[in-house]
Amino acid sequence: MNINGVHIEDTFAEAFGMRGTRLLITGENLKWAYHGATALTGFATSVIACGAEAGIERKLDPSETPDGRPGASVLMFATSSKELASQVERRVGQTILTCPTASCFGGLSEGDPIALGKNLRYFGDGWQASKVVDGRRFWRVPVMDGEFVCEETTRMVRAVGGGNFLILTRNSQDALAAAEAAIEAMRKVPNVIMPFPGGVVRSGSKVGSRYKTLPASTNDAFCPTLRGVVKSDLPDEAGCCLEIVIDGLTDQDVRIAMRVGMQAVCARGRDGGVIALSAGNYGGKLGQFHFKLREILAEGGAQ
Amino acid sequence: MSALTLSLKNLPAGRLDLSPLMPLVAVGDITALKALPLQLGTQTIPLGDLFSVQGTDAAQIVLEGDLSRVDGIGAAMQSGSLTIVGNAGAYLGTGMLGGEINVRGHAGHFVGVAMRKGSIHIKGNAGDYLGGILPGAMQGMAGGQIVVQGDVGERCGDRMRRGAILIGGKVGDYAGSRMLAGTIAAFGGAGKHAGYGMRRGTLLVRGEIDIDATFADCGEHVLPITNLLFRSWVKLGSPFGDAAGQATPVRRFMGDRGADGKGEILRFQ
Repeated sequence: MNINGVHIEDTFAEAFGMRGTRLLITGENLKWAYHGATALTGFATSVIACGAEAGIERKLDPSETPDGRPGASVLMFATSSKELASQVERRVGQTILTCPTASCFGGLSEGDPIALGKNLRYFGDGWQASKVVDGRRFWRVPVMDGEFVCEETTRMVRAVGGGNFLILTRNSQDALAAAEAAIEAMRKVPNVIMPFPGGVVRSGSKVGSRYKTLPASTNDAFCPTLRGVVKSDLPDEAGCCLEIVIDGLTDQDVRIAMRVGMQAVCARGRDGGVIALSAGNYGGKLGQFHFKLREILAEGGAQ
Repeated sequence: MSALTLSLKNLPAGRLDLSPLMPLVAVGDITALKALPLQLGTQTIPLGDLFSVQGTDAAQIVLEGDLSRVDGIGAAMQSGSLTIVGNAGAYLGTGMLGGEINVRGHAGHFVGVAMRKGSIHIKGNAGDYLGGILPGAMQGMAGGQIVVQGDVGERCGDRMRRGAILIGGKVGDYAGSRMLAGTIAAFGGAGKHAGYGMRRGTLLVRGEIDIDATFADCGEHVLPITNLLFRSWVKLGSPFGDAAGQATPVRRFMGDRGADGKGEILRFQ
């Protein structure tokens, strides 16, 4: 398969079942809502060492938020329900409770409830109070700028983490330009986040390492500086490879995001320095979701 | 199916207790409706002698006539809708468990006492002890919503535990007395001794209100929670949702310091 001079490898991305939730962060204005949401989703690139993968899904207009203030919608994913519940509480407690004027609400209407403000309320030292509005319980915790308002619970659903594709280009500049174009298009897709810095990751990994203590190590098959000494998967012209990782609430959401992103990369074409698209997998044995690149691009009508 | 309509033919002197009606409807046996024995003062009279009955859909019941001497309308109601085209007597919606009651006129004392779920909407005024307790009970209204567009009498929300009472006009003396939790909002001011003995909960009052000495002034603030409340009331129309979307400053008084003291009166203009 070849689109606009870009070779599409006959391979698939391997993704995993995760637990996910959506949180709505609001503030006095968009600036402060984003200060909270940015801190909440900070250091949440990979579950390998961050505990959770999180990102800002999109901006929210005042008409879309429970309290009529501007805000941001955040998606957060973890490998188990227990870990997600723990991450939600720790992160909201340290970043939204602390953020001036910010409030936090659950953003899903289905799924199992997990604690949001249910335990954070004890920060109020007995002065906390709750209000039930339209069947939803909100906690009011007195803080130094007034009150921190936080919904008692948020909903947790089964989700998909680790959808991905690799962009192989002539050089680093072309790779950044292609990846940025992909991310810009993918940010418009609902129910997904790209958790890495700027949505892009350069340190793709393989399972295992020559060192016993490391469960994963650098994906040497795609490292351009090792092409002469390892079994390289890079085409001759490719001098750089970047990966985009996608977490989504459903596998269909991840598929759509992958397609939109890959189409944006293909639109830059060979003239934009893009050589090929590939994907990261572990032979298909570890992850329950397989996203075949050619199939996904064919679904959307190849350009 | 047309709505089950009960029209009051004539009502002899005394007060009529209509509280057996909804339990009968709940078991679905409306054929026995006309024979349902009702208590009128010291006499027992079949329902068919007092009301003409039309229609069969018990999920939507309409009561017609001046029912201001008919008590216990909608008591123990579980689902469906009940419309009173006129005034209702005392104990409207007592111990209500679900459904909705609409009163196009006024309602008497003890509206929604011991109510647990559902909603009551009264276009006119309502009497004392709205959302209060039954004799001997420890808690009053424990859920649901009562909306009164006019004024409400004294001791509104006495020992209220949960739920919301919204009053378009003025609420009488001792509003929220001995309140345990929940929300009472009055948009036309409040009488004397508001929140007397209140432990927790919120009294939100627009306009004139005397604050007792047992409430501590905590200053004026814009609270995010009031916006959540106002926004949820927009569907009820004016005046309930008027302040939605605005940064409305409220003066917060915490009390009753003679009781638990975790309650609040929020006064705004």
